[in-house]
Amino acid sequence: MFSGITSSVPGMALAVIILTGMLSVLAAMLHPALFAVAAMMLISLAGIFTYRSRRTQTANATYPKVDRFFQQVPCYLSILNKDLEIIRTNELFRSDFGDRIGEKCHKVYKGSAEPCDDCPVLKTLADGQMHTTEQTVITKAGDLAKMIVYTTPVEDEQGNIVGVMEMATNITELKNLQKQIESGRREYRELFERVPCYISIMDKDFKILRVNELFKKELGAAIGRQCYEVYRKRDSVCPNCHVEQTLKDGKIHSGEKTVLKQDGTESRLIVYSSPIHDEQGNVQAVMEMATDITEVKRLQCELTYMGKTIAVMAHRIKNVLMGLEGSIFVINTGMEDGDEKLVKQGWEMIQRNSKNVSRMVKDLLYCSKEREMTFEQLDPTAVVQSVHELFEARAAQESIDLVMEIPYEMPTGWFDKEAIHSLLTNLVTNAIEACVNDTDDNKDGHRISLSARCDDNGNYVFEVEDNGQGIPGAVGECVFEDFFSTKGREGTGLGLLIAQKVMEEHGGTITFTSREGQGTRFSAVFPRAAEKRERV
Amino acid sequence: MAKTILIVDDEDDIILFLETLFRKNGYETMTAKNGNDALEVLKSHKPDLITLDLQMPKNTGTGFYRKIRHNEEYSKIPVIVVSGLPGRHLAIPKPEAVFDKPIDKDALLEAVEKAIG
Repeated sequence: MFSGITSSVPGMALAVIILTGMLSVLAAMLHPALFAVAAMMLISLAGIFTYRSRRTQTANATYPKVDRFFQQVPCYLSILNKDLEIIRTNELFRSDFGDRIGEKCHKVYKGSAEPCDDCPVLKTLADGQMHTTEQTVITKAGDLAKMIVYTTPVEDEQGNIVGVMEMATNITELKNLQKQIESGRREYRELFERVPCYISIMDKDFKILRVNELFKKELGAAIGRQCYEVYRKRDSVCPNCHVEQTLKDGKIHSGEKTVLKQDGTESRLIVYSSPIHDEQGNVQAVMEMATDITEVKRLQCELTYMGKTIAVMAHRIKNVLMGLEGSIFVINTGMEDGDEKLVKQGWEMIQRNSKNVSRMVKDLLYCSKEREMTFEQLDPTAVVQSVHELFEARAAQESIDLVMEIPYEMPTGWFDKEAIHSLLTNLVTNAIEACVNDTDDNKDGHRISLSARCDDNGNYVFEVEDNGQGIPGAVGECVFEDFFSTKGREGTGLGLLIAQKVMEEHGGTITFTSREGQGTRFSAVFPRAAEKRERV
Repeated sequence: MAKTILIVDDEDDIILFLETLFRKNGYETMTAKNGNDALEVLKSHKPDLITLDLQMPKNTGTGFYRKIRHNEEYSKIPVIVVSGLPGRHLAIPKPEAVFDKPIDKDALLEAVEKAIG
């Protein structure tokens, strides 16, 4: 009431009048000294009331705004005293935790009788600084919520800390999203690293930004270097670069590529390059993915060769059939006409053709794994001699000089005699064919050399070299295709397949060098300790 | 007088077969094992018909055929081609007949008869 009175001018006037009236009355009744004291008391009381109401008035003028803000702000606000008891809360706090005035904050937030281990309120009370923590709390409904909590000190007029204001925001949703993102990232990373193909990421300057595990292991890491330098030892972009194409048009490009692995072997890869876009949709990097198809290519070549071999064999069988039919006719004619010479000729024809078929079948069985392997300790020079003998006549017939170069003897090793014989026979046959089909008339005669020796490591090296027509075309991906010939009459058509099988069985390797028009050399190397291998 | 047939083939078995076949049917035969030898034989004795194998090494068969077709004296001699290769009819222009291997002897005789009697 007094504050209302003293806050306005008419009010003030009224107060003065009343006061004057009272003083007048008292003056008449009291001793002058007593009156003076009473007057002073009344006036100072009036002064105090005025002063205090003024102060409250000012405070009350701004206080409603702060209060509204406090109540409505969308985070949990609570004010705690030095004993951690809640003395004030805002709307949101009350709705999720209840109006828990007087209760300890740790009881309200966590249902615990003790303060939390890292209680930020205590910290703030201790050092007067703001503190931030993440806490997990239980709402009034019993749900768990993750919060980020800020505590600030509340000070009195003297600057002493009398309490703490706690502000908390619910970050449960945020935390969940974070987890999802992290889990998504982890999955992606796993995929990137573990997928069984080579993945690399290059920037617009062809610099390698990132590679996956397999890549690192087999091709080397080389982060920061240009890709063309690392894979192909070039100092500029490779021709027909897929990465370049993708950088230009932002599309996926693919093709085949040969790379040199860290272990020194070559691999054939099928490569896809796909664009990586930035937020504006521009291509900022390229991801290159490659799968090793070396094995697939090898099988493809083998199958192609086998297919063609079958065609050749059919052709040769046709010839043999003709030979047999023809010889039957010749023999019959001879018998009809009583021409013994003719009969004899016909009979020889049958024998020749029969031998041919026999050879073909033997080779076919060998290739289709029906033959039993018989390994024994032997000196291979004997086999070489036998093959030389076998082809001497035929070579002479074609005016080919068949030369044998072997040491007097060689250390014995584990060999399947027939297999080695087959191998050398096939190689010599190919050589004869190469000479016979050679259209170069400027050569000073044809020559085939058949040799055997031990190299510095004690391995057996068999070589068949000719100066015939050579193998046309580039030394390509398909080793077998290069040898293919439909014109030849010498072999059974299975030559290369047999050669390959023999090498596999003995743990050896076969290579060749050739110059078109000049000649070919085959080298079959058998390891010193040729293992006795069982056929799978 | 008996008609003569020049057999050009690099395989002995085929030569034996064809010789027997033709001789039995009243023809005389000459043989050559490659295109160049065949040209030599032609110079000394002109046959009434030639059977030609196209599948000889170094393509001497096709070479031979082209040469005789361009030669006035020889271009009139009928030629029967024997080849085991598919697409043989595309290899050279206009022989009298083309036979695939294995040779059907009756059909061959018929063709010879039709050409020279």
